[in-house]
Amino acid sequence: MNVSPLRRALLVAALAYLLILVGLALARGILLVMALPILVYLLVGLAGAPSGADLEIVRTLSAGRLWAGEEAEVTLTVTNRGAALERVQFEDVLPAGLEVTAGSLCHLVSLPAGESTRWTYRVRGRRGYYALRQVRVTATEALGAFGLETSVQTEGQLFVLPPVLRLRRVDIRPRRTRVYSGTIPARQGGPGVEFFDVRAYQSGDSPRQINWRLTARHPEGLFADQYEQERVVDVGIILDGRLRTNDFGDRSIFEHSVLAAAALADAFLAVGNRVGMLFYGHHIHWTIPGYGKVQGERILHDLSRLDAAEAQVFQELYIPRRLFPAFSQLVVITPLTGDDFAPLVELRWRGYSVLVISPDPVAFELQGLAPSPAAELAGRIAHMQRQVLIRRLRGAGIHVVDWDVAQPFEQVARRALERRQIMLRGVR
Amino acid sequence: MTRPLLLLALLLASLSIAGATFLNGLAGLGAVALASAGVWLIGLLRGWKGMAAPMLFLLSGAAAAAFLLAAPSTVETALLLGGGLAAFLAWDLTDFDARLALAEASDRPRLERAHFSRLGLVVGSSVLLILLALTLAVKLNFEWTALLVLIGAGGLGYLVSQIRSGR
Repeated sequence: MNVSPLRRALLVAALAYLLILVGLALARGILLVMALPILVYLLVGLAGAPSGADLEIVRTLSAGRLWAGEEAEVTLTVTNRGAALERVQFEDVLPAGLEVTAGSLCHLVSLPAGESTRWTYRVRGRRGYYALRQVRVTATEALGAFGLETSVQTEGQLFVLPPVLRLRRVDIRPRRTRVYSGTIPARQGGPGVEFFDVRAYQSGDSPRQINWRLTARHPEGLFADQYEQERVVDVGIILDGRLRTNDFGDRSIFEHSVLAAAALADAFLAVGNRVGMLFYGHHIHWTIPGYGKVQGERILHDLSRLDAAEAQVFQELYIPRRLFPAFSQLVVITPLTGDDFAPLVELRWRGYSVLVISPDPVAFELQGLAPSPAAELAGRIAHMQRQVLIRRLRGAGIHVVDWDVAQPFEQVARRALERRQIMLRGVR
Repeated sequence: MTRPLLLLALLLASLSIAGATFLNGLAGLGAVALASAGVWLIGLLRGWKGMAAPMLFLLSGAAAAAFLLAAPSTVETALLLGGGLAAFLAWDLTDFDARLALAEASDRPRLERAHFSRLGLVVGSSVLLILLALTLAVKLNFEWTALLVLIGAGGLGYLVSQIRSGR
């Protein structure tokens, strides 16, 4: 970065005064003469220094939302509404997390009154929400020794969304469904695919529904097959963003939780379900339930903003049940701690179908540690404690997916969530 | 255009100051001047930041020390003053050269024109004032010197406060 004009002036002024003071102190006039060019330089600079800058800066972005790894082009257009500026340097203030891939944040130009200038650069960043709201302006005279530094506020925001893994299907079976047809078995007879029950034939039933074998055995009437209705359901995704469960020194498992939340939200919304999301970390953030692509976009935008953070009040897992319809499906994405057992079991006890996706914090932390017998032993103990907790949760009728984040989530989800599992039937 | 002028200024500064100091038998000061210019040049080529200001202080200090430690002839005085001026120009051009990299190619000629015209004014006025000052040798007694020192110290404080306040 270049030295600011004010510091430059101060620097040469110091040199001039040093020469003058030494010259006066030692009565050597030649040193005063040596200081003359510097004094002239400062005087010329001071005389030409701009008194103010009236600038209008407009920022445009090629995209307001990006997927992680994608790039956006930022264009800044500056119009000088005031007096001519001999030399003006602009520096766009980029939030942490974004990096410039092409072009420059800084732009130096000579800007006559009424004229405009424009420059572009490209950025990319990690998941997050970025407000681009400030451009630093340094306007100086032609020598760059005197001038003014100011900031101009601009509009601009960029969402870098988490990647969305496509899951083929996620089999869930909550006790209550909504009225609209979907893909989740509703425990009610009607139009569907899978056999559900047999009842007496009623007028209006299709003749193809007649169960001929049963009718032959009971000649007193006709019997018709019933199929299980498939409906949409309410799904609440609960994302655990507590720092104490997610952070391990300079590494965080939270990104994996976000990845899973995005993939699951997409999978549930794709088949018409109503999905809401609760973030639980430094604060509680609630994404109101909704359907379809708009809701998917809303969830992704919210996910891009969230970060694991600590709050004393949210140390323990507390899930506000009033946000979720009774007997609906809850998907809790949490690394799990021993304290989480009670609140999760209470949810199950209240009638919710609970699916826990648990990124394995033990394996994750071990990956970041130098291998040693002590670390290995500690890892084994922590792993056993975790397995006991998972087993207890499973025993309480909670479906737990134990996810070693070294494996891709889609692979784990395919194995654990795409089968119509006996376990799920068992916890109806 | 800026880079060649910068290199020329640096060359003139180092050779003038080193030449004058060597002529006065101050080989140590000459070596300091040459080494400073060398480090400055290497920093310039390698893109090191913050090299120009210390090197300017060293070159100016070498020139000032030559005036204090020896009694230079007219030619040597001219060389030392010219070297000091060239070092100052090199300092200014180093910063300008770095800033110019941020400008679009189409804007550079306009920026260079404005900068060089202003720098020309500074050099012309400085040379004129130096010649005037050397011609009109004013003798200062102790009282005047003390007064000027006080005014100088006060002026330095005022300048610093003005710069700090951004005016």
